Amino acid sequence: MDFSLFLPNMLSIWSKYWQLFLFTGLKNTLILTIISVALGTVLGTLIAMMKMSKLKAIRFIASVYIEVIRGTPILLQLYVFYFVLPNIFTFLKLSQFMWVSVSLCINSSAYVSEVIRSGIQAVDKGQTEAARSLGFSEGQTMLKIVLPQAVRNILPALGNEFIMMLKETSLASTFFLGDIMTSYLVVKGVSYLTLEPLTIVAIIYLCVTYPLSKLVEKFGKKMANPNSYRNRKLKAGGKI
Amino acid sequence: MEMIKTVDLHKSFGELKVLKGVNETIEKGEVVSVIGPSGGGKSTFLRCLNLLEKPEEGKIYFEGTEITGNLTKEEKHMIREGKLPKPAKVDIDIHRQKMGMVFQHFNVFPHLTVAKNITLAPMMLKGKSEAEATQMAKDLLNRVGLLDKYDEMPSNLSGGQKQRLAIIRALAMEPDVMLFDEPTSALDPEMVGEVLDVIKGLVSSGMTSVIVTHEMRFAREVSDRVLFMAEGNILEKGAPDQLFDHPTHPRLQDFLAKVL
Amino acid sequence: MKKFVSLLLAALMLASMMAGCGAKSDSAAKVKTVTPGTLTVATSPDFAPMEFVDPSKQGQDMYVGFDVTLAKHVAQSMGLQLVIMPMSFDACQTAVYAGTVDMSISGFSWTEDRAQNYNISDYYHAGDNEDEQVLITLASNGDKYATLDGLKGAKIGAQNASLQQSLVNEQLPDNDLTLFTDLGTAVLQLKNGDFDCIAVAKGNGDAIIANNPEIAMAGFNFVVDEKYTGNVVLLQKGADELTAAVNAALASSKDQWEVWYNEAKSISGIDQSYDDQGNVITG
Repeated sequence: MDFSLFLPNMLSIWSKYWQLFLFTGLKNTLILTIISVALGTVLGTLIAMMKMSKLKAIRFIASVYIEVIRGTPILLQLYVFYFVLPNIFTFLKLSQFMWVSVSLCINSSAYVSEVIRSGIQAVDKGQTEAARSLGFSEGQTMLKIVLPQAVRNILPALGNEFIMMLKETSLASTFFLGDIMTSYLVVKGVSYLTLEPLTIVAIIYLCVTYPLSKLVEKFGKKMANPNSYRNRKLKAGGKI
Repeated sequence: MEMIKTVDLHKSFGELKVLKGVNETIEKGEVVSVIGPSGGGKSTFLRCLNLLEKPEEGKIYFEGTEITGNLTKEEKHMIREGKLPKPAKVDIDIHRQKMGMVFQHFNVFPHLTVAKNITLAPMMLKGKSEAEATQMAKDLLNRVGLLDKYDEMPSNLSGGQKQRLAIIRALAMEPDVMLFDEPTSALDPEMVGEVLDVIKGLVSSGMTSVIVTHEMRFAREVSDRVLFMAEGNILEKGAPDQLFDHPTHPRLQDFLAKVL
Repeated sequence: MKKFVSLLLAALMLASMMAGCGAKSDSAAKVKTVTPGTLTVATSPDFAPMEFVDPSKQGQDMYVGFDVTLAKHVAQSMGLQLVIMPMSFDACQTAVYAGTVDMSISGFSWTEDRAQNYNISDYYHAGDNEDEQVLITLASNGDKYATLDGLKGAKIGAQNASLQQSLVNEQLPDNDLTLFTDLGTAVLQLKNGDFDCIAVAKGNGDAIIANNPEIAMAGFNFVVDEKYTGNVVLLQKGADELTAAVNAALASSKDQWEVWYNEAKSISGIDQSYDDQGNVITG
């Protein structure tokens, strides 16, 4: 393969379409990711609580939800949400962008719920026992003792989920929703050049994911240090 | 006066029967040590007393109140026939406030400062003011020689210091009885002494205590009474001198021969 | 896996259509569309000059190309507002099947399978280009692949379920045929040496060559049977009224196709212009 044209082609595509890649593509990718992970976290917390419920029926519903979503390809889920559900829930006047967002959000919620659940369950059982033996109720124990400790297991994993989702949103390009991959399709569609715009896309993704994953790593290390409990409080100006 | 009384306590984990009808009464002010081989049911018995484990059968009376909610066959029958009123639901959280517990693995709260570890429960559960709770924390820390750790995080404490913190965390709730579940088993040998000293000081002040322990010399020294548990029941009990010097049950004789 | 997925999807579609049917039947006006008052058309705008995106425009205006102009005409002739729903080529067919859109106009060729599962419109011709089906190859190959003899043993690529696939099977049966789903990627594979030639419509070939100077016409033209010439509009099976309306719109616009096509070609070349041979004119 002749690579002599690669760099000139890439540069000319960049100079012509950089606004499309950054202002449209990157912007939409970030919007999609933030919506999916934010709503996914809210929904995921709910699912995690259901999964830990005392009622078998509720646990069962949560398990089915999680297994179905984690056990099927995300593209298939996207098809179902895009083509099937709007026909069933005809009263929901959601835009195409919203249906895809909902789909990604539900996908994210299944993964987040497992992150939250395992984060909570990773807290030593002795902590619960100690709190209950002092006379704290179940709810007080969860709120004051377990959750504050679970957060430091959960937050770094949530950061990773964000990075995962940032890449998963590229599937939105199936419906030309304007994310970075859509920018690629658009450029490819007129220029019939593939590798050049793809390289640009890869660089943009890396420019976002690499600093993010470094940030998560740093944050995770800090969280793993129990003294960080205190540092955080000091920074927040709280009393110790 | 009876502090804790158990009647025919049964507990199993799946197929495994751990407690097979334990009857025991612990008087107010009494210091009772529980010794015996591993898997004999000592810890489970102790954890049943504040319902960290729920016994399937049998009753536990704490200061005169039945706390398990378990009913005998006759009682169930009588309730069905209307001869006995349905018992009110027990709020175990209230009772647990009066039963301090100390764990093998300390279980101090790593996300709270030493002071907060102590003050959280009295402030949230007993409505103590911050000033009151803080003063109490300082007094207690001073008592166990940890006052200089007041602002530290637990991760900066040694094992022995953590266990001392766990003990005063329980004491801050001003309990009527203290339950110790092998409080020195997870400690490095050089730290056992400092924790035992604290417990000694505590029991000498008249605190009703039940202590599950492997420290035979300690059990003999501080206890009013010693229970020997094996095979899911109390096989022998009595004053420490009598039990250690003149064991009658062959299982106890065997056990002592191995550990002493 | 893929089969399982499509089966599952088909089952879901069926369920959704049953749910959708009841809602639709009561609005038995003249021609039913998915959204009353609008004509919803699926297209895969990564295929200049048939359908592509003009990045300088916003919203519905950014979808351009021959098929988009045609879709506008169809909508206009029915007195409806056009809404373009962009999606991948595969998804276009699913969208028609599921009833998410009224039709798909996306450079579809007629195939046996499509005729079985969908309503198919009459043919339309995007200029003269669809009539000519060619092979493209690396310019360095010269006229090596211009003849049947020269093509012996050559690896040939064609888009999955396309007209070109049928043509290769029919007219180059002894050659090693590899199917691809995306023409842009196939061009890359051609440069990479995975294929010796790619079978394309001449219009696409011209656009490819214009942007990739190292690629050229192989000099081989397929003999194109009459039933293959031109494109069709894909509609849901049984949507006969709508199909008739589309056919009427096609019949009434025949003389404008050439103009539309040239327009589309010039828009797709906004950034570059090329001469008759498809070479980029510089300066």
